Formats: sequence, structure tokens, C-alpha cells
Amino acid sequence: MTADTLPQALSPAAVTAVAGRLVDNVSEVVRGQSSAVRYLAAAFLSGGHVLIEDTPGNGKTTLAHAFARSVAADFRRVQGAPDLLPSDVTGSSVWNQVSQSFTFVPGPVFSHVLLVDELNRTPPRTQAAFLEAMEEGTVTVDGVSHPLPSPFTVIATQNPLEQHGAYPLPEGQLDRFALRVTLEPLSEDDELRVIRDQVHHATVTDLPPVIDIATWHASCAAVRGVYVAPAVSAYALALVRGTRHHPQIAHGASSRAAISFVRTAQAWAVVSGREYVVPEDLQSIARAALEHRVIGAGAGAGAAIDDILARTPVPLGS
Amino acid sequence: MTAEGRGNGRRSLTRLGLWLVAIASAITSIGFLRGDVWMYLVALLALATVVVSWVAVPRLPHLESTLVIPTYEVVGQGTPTRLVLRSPARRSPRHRLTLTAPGDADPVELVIEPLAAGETRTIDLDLHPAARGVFRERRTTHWTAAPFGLVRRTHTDLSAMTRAIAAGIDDHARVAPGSQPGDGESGRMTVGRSGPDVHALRSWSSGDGTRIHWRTTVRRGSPVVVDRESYERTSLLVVAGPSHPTPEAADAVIARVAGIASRAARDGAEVRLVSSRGADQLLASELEALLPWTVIAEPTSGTSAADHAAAALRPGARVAIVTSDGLTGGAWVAEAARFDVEVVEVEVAPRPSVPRRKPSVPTFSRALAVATMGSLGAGVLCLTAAGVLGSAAATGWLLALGAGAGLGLLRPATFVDVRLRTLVSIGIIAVNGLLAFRSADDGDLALAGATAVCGVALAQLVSSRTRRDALVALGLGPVMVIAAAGFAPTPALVLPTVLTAIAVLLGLGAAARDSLVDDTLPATSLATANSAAGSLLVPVSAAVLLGVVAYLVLPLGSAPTLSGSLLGDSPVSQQSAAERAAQVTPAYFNGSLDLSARGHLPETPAFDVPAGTDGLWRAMTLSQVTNGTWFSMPAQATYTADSSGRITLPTDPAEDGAPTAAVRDYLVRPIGAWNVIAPGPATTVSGLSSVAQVTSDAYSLDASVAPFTVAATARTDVDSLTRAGGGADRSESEWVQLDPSTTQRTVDLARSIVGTTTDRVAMVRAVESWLRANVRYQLDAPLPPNDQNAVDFLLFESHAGFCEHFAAAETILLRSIGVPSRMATGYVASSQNSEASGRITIRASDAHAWVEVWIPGHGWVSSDPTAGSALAAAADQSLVQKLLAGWNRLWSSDSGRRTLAIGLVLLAFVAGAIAFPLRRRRAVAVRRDAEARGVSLEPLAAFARYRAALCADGHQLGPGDGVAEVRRLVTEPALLTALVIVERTLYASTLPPGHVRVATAELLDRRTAALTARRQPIPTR
Repeated sequence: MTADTLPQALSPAAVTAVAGRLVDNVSEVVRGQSSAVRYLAAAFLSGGHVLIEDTPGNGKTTLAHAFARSVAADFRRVQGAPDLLPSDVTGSSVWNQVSQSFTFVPGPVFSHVLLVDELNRTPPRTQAAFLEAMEEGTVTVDGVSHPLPSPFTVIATQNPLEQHGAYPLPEGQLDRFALRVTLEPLSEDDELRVIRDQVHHATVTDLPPVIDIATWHASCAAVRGVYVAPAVSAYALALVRGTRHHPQIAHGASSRAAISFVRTAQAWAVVSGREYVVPEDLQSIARAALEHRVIGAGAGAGAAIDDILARTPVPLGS
Repeated sequence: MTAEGRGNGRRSLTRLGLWLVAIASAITSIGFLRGDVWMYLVALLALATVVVSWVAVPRLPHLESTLVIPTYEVVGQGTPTRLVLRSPARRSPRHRLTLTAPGDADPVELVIEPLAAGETRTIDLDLHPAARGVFRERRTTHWTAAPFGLVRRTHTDLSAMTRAIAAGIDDHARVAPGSQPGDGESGRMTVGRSGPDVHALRSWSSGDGTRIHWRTTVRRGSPVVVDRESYERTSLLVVAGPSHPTPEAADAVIARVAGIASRAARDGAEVRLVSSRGADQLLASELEALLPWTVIAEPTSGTSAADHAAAALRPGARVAIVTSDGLTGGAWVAEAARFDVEVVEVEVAPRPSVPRRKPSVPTFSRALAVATMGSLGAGVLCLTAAGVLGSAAATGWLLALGAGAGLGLLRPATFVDVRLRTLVSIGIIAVNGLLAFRSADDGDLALAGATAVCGVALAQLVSSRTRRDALVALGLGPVMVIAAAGFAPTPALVLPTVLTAIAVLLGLGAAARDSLVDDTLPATSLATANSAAGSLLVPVSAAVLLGVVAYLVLPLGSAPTLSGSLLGDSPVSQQSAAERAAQVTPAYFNGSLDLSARGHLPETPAFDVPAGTDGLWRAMTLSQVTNGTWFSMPAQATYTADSSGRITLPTDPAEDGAPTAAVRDYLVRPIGAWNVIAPGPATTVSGLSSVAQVTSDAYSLDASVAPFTVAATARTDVDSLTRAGGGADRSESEWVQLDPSTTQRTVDLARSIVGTTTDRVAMVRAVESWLRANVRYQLDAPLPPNDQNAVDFLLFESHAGFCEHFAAAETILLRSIGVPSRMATGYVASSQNSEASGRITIRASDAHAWVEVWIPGHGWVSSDPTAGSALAAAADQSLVQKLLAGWNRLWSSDSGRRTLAIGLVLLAFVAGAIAFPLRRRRAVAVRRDAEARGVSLEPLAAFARYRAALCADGHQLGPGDGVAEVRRLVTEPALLTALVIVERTLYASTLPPGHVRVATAELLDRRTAALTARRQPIPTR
């Protein structure tokens, strides 16, 4: 089925089913990370980018890989390293002997799903190249803009512990990630299952794709149509504005953060089986969506956001 | 130690029932294919029912189509008694379990919430020592889906389960110290009572140490440990008081005290209670009943409360002081300080005010009310169509239905008074009963029965106040249909029957939807209330559409059961269409025709004739006339076929002198009429054994009704001639005889029409065109007065008539100026009625009368003054009549029916295409409207009150805790649904329907009231 034959937008129930398929498929491989999987599914359906942050060896890459594999789409992977150059990511123009001209050879960024492993180990120059790709959906090489395929989702991982040889991500780039997801510690049972699953070979390579690009496209279109009541939008804004005045936050979230926050909440609502956004959707994703976008002062941004959630009144009519 | 409940069998019985209905439908469908239309109708309805039951019912979110009882396992006994529930593969429904202990202890009622598939749930029962024992009686209540979207509530006495559990416990009883091993009386358990120190026997689990009860272990083959009762209990003193400003405040304090006490008791604490004067009555009457086994109520008065408190205190105890007036315990705190106790002061907030209002809506929605009225209205239509109710009675009844019931149901707020309703319904029953009695007295039992049914139905409708009442009224519609079908199964019942079916199905859908917010039914936990609204409409419409289209498209079978029109004029008796046709047709073909008679000709097929022979098919001619009645001299002769199978008919003497013309053969197939017809005078007939002569030129078929070939000369039409030729004239008196009552002004009129014309063709055409211009065609033309000549009345007064009047008038006019002419009767074959088979169907309603005129040189030629005449003006023939005529024409031909079916399907598509975006737009508009006006919607205020009540009850709800947080605090399915509706009202793009919102608000208010005066301290988990 191609994009031409598929309807422009699926019904919310159909998108919920798509999300369910996605979550179930990924959960076959990634055990015990139900909330992280749901966050990723929401980001996927809202067309946002995700940053997975955790210590090494806890399945960051497996999670990202599993999502990429669940979609029958172009999937590329970039391993972050200090000597990674922007052209390694975007591609470059090479001299074509036959046509006597420069031909653009697209880099790994020209894919639907781009997995950037250990993003914070790439130098700032390369990070800037990602910046344009993630925000604009285009890549400029030698003054020529090349559009990226749509939809385009970046799943990046970073390791917060190992700071040696790492380049901390600039705030501007962090702001482009719709969600920052951290993994939960595995329970004993789950960990045992993971070991038993993976002892022979990495099961993620066996994962079948469960949605195609057309479905993904239609799902994204449907998610944009999820109803956000004016009161809910106002509530989202109140939360975001709350970060700007909170004593424990030095620098609050931007307007872009607010937009991305509501969009991701739309996807979260669909993943939760609803065709409208409720304040609890915003509450559920608030930490994942806002924490990396504020600069904390004192006890930490996470606690500050929890405090804002507890203080901001939920719209209950009248 | 397990018991498997029954219930799966019940479910498969329901399935079996549905299958039986389906098989019955198939059989009746076969019956239809053999030609029985009514059987087909029944089959369609049954099929539609099955389709709806299967398609729509499981889609209703609150219905469980399965009935599964979880497995129960009672582990140990005493406190706590543990009830382990395991759900089998399917999700179990919500049900209620009643446990009755021996002695006078109150039964314990457990509401067991639905278990997910495979889920195991443990319920610890805190039972009074006296209640530890046999659960002698267990009843469960199930709600299951029944066909038609109904919900059935069944109580099951699980005696088998009881025995199994009792036997399991008995196993322990036999080995317990002090019991009588092996007394083995099933259903009785004595263990917990006989050994005072034995608390419970239970299966061994890891970490249990050495308390193994070896005897039981040996007996059971698995390790069993014994728990010994512990007497080391904490104690809690609850002090209520000291004074309460209002009874409401006292109420709130009692509720709070009960909450604290029950929780403490569950934790194993010994609870003592001291109250002050203000709460004396309440404590005595209610608290005692509330907490019979945990609280020792000690009503006190005045200052001695402190003494009592002191007496009740024990070292190390905790004291809870519950007040409502902002005063602390005061002296009691000081008293308590003398002991080493922990004092907890609890201040009860005044309870939020819950508005007490009368229900503003009946317990069923307007949709159900309207559907009920529709069902009954269609039922009355059915009875009318079957000819049981007169149309006047039916009209009056429908008006009453519209006015009375509409007033009562659509505006319930203005007509909610029960006495008024009762009065009205009694009145209706009395009037209808009187009518029924009089009808029965007159011997008209059918009318009596129908009137009685109608009366009961209307009374039921008017007095309906609950959903059940309305459903009963709804069901009376089909009863009326069945009654009508019993009286006269005519096709006229099709439309009202379909209407009834639609109304009933929609009504059931509405009823099922209403139950979403009814707290007596298990509601869905997270189902969306307003998405269910559309879920029934589409399958119901599709099933009905399918049925109607199938009815239209499928052939009707060869048996001529279809007669009469769809909308009326149906016969009152069950005589066959053939019999009716045989009665009607002689009016035209028995040799006489009375101009002042009026009759109706049915659409019954009479003949079919070859294609291309459209025009006049002559059956006989009538030349004599007396006082408005035309006739011919009867003849009595029978002609039989010769050896070649051909019947040669005698030459009609009237044809003498006519020029000879070509004779052609026509194959005629008689279907519902039994005379020989031909486009002109017939010479021979073949294919029949014999024919009987009726008049000089008319013949009827004998017993052997078979297709026949008639050889005849087609008549020329006068309109195709230009002038008369030379030749013999036939001016015998027979052809120019006038009705003796013919008036002079008629003769004068004839002369003035013809004027000076001498050519006979021109004369005939002048008369023809005068009639066409001055007389209008009208089937129900007014009757002439008895003393007036019919033709005179037509020409000078009514100016309206139908074919026989036109023909008679022309004949008289022509004869008065000496033109030989006579009346001819027969049929008009119209190419509009062509069938695919290449034949033209002639129906009884195509019967016609015209004129034959003798034109010298041409012989008898036909002249049809009716053709081309103007139809009667709209004032005379109402629009309804015109529509009915058009409808009948469309309905009675195969191609018309096909067109109708295609039109219906197209209409459905168009309606769907229009309705879908419209609905969405309307819903958004409603939402915007509500937002724009800032209307506080019903459930929101109720939710705010409920939330406040929860806060007052001790739940910590901050400003950041919304509907979802409240949902986490409740488990009751109906309440969960209500909260979903609140959530949708707040945030969804479409508002839930109004009655759902109102019902939600009422449910929330009931729960708020229950919360503030909590009366259910029996812990269930």
C-alpha cells in the first residue's frame, strides 16, 4: 500500500491500534520498560525526536533499534565519535567523472528513522548539522538545501555518566527533542527474561516491522487532529509558564517547548486510547517533555516540575 | 477446595436460541420462495433481529456477552477469612455474593468487581466471630446480554459451589481439636468454634516455620499450618463530640467515626467508642447496626463523658477525638494526657451541600420515548392497514398518541405529576374498554380486541415513568403488528411493520444506552458514552435497508398473494386475490354496466399479452341502455375445440357489412381473469377445450384456464381516420336507441357540438374532443342523484367521471344525432407495464370502457374519449391520492420495485454521506456553543461537589489532581463511567448527550450523599 492509496488521516481508534502494535512489538524485545516504550511510541506518532538518556548497557540502543525496526522504513545508524564530521552525517558533493559535475551523495541523515548513538560524543560542529536536520527537515550542503524524507525521526542516545571526551549538548539542540526518556531499572524477573532472550543472539534483529510508512504518515496526520480543548491548551501554557517563574529553575521552557509539549500530549492521548487530550496527558509527559528544556537551579529541574504540576490547578470547568 | 460456578451453559443456551431463530428464518425464507409473502416478512424481521443481536449487542460497551463465574477458593476461616477468586479464560462479570453466617449475624454482601481474564484476586473478609462459619447461602447476581440489546439480571443460587466450599472446609473441621471427626455433615462447619485457641488452618507457605498441623497434613497430603489466635491487640478509643451545631454536622461526625473505627478494626485493633450527648440517638440506632462486632457503643451524657473516656482508656491506646465544631477535645485531651496515649484530633468539615432536587427527567431518555411512540403509532397503522381499525378511529388514536404522549414524555418536567398520569391512563383504559365492550356486543370481536390492545398500549405509554415501563409499551407495538397480521396478512402491512421494527430496534438501542449511566447495571469502566450512541443506529439501519431492498428485489413468487396496494385499500378478509379479482371483474364483463356504481379495481394481474399490442383489448360490447345501466342480450352456448384444437366462434351479425381486414393471432395468458379478450372481434380461439358464450360477441373461459391464442381483426381507431368512406350504414334501432331518461338538453348539446358537420368521422371527433375538453377524468366522480340521468348529470353538473362515463356520454350524444354506436369494455394494455419477458401485463385496474362507432366504409371503429382528457384538478384529487396512485403504480411492477430498491440504496448512501459530516459538525457546534456561553454543564458542578466530598473524607486531592486522580480512588464501574463522562464533558471535542450528562450528574450527587453519610463500613477487601 502506498501513501497515495491510503487515506490522509486514520481514525483515532486506528492510530491507537497502530500504537498498540508498535508498543507490543517493541515490548517483545525490550522488557520491563513499558513507560519508555510508550513515550517513544508517542514521539513517533507526533513526529518528534527522542533523546534516550541512561547509563551504558541498559538497553538504550536496543530500544531505539527496536522502534526503528518496527517501522518498515529507511533506517540508518550513526555512531557518535569525536572525529565524526558533519559531512559524514549529511553527505557531501563528490566529483562525478562522467558528467563532469559535482553530484550530491546523501549521508545517513536521509532516512526516515535515524539512530544517533552517543550523540554527546560528537563534536559541536556535527551536532549543529543535526540541529538543522531535526528542526528544518532539510540539509544544506554547499549552499544547496536537500529536503529530508518525511516523516523523519531522530532517536538519539546519550550517556550522562561518562563525560570524558564528551561534548555536552547545547540547550538549543536539547530543545529540539520532544522527549527525553530515561530507562527504569529492570526488575529481577525482567532482567532474567532479557538474559534468557538474548543469550543466543540479539532478538532485535528478528523483529518484524509492524507499520509501514504510509500508516505512519497517516497516523501522524491523525495525531495532529486530536482535539485539544481550549482549557487544556491554557493548562499546558500555565505549566510551561510556571517553569519560567519557579525559584528552582534558572531558565524556563520556550514557546517551542510549549508547542512540542501539546503535540506530544496529543500523541500520548491517542496512545492511551482517547481522541482528545486531558490534563493528565500533559502531567504524564511533563517531566519527559520539559525537564531537559529548563536549566535547573538548586534541587533540580525534575522536582521543580513536579512542584509546578502539583500547584497548577487542573481545569475542571465552571 | 475449589468450586466452578455454572453459567457457561446459560450462555451457550442464548447462542443456541439465536441459532434456532436463524434456522427458523432460513426455513421461512424457503417458504417465501414457494410464494408466501408473509412468511418472507417474518423471516426478514427474524433475520434482522439476529443480525442486530449479533452485530450490535456485543458492541454496546457495558454488556457482557459471556457469563463466567470465577473460581472461588476459601482459604482458612476465622479472621481474616480469605476468599480467593480466579477468573477463567474469559472476563468475569460483576456480581454480588451474599454470605450468610449461622446465628443472627447479618449477611455479608460482597460486590465482586469484574475480574480480567486469568486474574486472581484475594478478598480478606473481616467477619464477626459469629459470622465465621458456614456460608450457608450464596447467591450471585449476574447481568448478561440478552437478544435485542436487553440486559438480563439473573440470580443464581450456587448451592453446588456452597457444598464444595463447605466440604473443603469440612475437611479441616474433621481434624480440628474438639471437633467430631467424620461427622461429615455437608454444609456445616464447626471448626472455628470448637477450638478456642485455633485461629485458622491454612496451607503451608515458605517462612511458616514449625507450626505445621501434622494430622491435617497427613490427611491432606500437603503441608498445613495452624495459626493460633493472638490476644495481643491494640486498642483505640474514639471519642465523638463534644457537641454538634447541626444534625448534619452530627451526621458527618458519625460517618467519620465509622470510617476510623472500621479501618482500625480491620487492622485488628479493639475499638471502643465514647460519644457525647449530641450524638446519643444516632449512636444507639445507627452506629450499633453499623459496627456490631468492633465497636462497643457507650452512650454518655454531659461531663461524665470524660469519666467514661478515662474508663475506656488503656495504657498504650490511641485516642481519636472527632469533632465538628472547631472545639478540640478539651478536658478529654487533658484526661488522656494522664495516660501514655497518642491523641489524634480529627475535625470534620461541614459536608458539602448536595442539592436535593426532584428528578428532572424520567429514567429513560427522550429517544426511547420517541421510539416507543413510533412503535405504537406504526402498530396502529398496521391494525388500520389490516382493516381492523377504521381509519377515523386510527386517526383519532394517532392524534391522541401525538398529543397526550408527546405532552407526557417529551415534556416530562411539565407533566410529571403521578396522579395526573394515573388519571389519564385510567381514563384511556376506561374509554377503550367501553369501546371494546360495545364492539364485542356488536359481534365485532376483532375491533374489540384491537381497541383493547390500543387502549392498554396508550395507557402504558402515558403512565411510563421508568425505562422498564417504556420498554413494555415499546413491546406492545410488535404485539399490534402480530395481531394485524393475524387478521389480514396483506402487503399493506409491510411499511408499518418495517416502521415498527425500526422503532423497536432504535428504542432498544436507546434503552441500552440509557443503562450506561444507570448504577444498577454494570457499566463499562472506560467506555465512552457518546460513541455508543451511534453504534446501534448504523447496524439497525443497515439491517432494515437490507430487508426492504431484498423484499423489493426478490421475486414475489407465482402465487398471486400480492394484492391490494401497499398503503391502503386492503381487503378485510383473507380471501385470495384471485377470488377478489373474480368478484370485481364481472362488473365490466357480465354483460351489464351500471353507471352509478363505484368500485375499486385492484392491481391484480389479469392477463398478459404479447409485446407491441398496446392499445384496447376488447372483451364485449354493450348496446342496450336503460336508466343508466348498459347491457347486452345474454347468450347461452358452449363451443368446443375441433380435432385441430381450434374453437371456431360464430360470426357476430353486427359485423355484417364491414370491410374485411387482416386477421392476426395473439397469444393471451389469463392470470386472474377468465374471459376471452382480443384487440377486435375474435374469429377463432385455440389452446382451450371449450369457451362459453356470454353475449353475442363475448366469451368466457371454461374451467380449463390455460394460455390461448385468439385470432382477431384489430379495430381501427377513429383518430386515425380522416373521413368516412362509401358503404353500408348500420342504423338499426339497436345502435341508435337512447336511454328513455335522456334529457332534451343532452340532445340539444349533441346538435350544437356537431353543428353542420355531415361527415361521420368529423362528427365523432367533434363529440370526442368536446368531452375531452369539458369533462375531467376522476376515478371517484360524484354519484348522480337517484332521479337524474347519469349522462345528464355528467354533462351539465359534475363535469367529472371516468372511462365508463365518458363512453356512455359519447354514445348517448352520438346516438342522439343518429350515429350508430355502442359501448365496448375490455382492457388497456400499456407498454409501461412491459416485463422483461417481452410480455405486457394487464391488471384488473387496467379495465376500461370506450365506444365503437359505425363508420361507413370502415365498419366499427373504436373511439376512446377518455384518452387525452384532462385529469381532475388538484382540488378534486388530493395530492395524497395522486401520490398514492403513483406509488401504487411504482410498487406493482417489477421494474418499479427494482427502481425503488436502487433508489433506496442510493438514498441511504447519500444520507450517510450527508449525515456523517453533519453529525460531526453539529457536535463541534454544540461544544463551541457551550463554551461560548460559558454554561456550566451538569456533570461538572456535580463532579466538583463529589471531589469536595472526597477531600472531606480524608483523601488528599491537590489543585493538580483532576478527574484521572479521582478515578484512581474509585472502583465502582458505574462511577468510573460517570467520571469518563465528566472527562468527556470537560475535554472532548463532542459533548455527551444531554440525558447522559444529567444522569451522570445525578449519579455523582447520589454518591456524594452516600460519601458524606457513609453507611457501609463492611470492608470487602
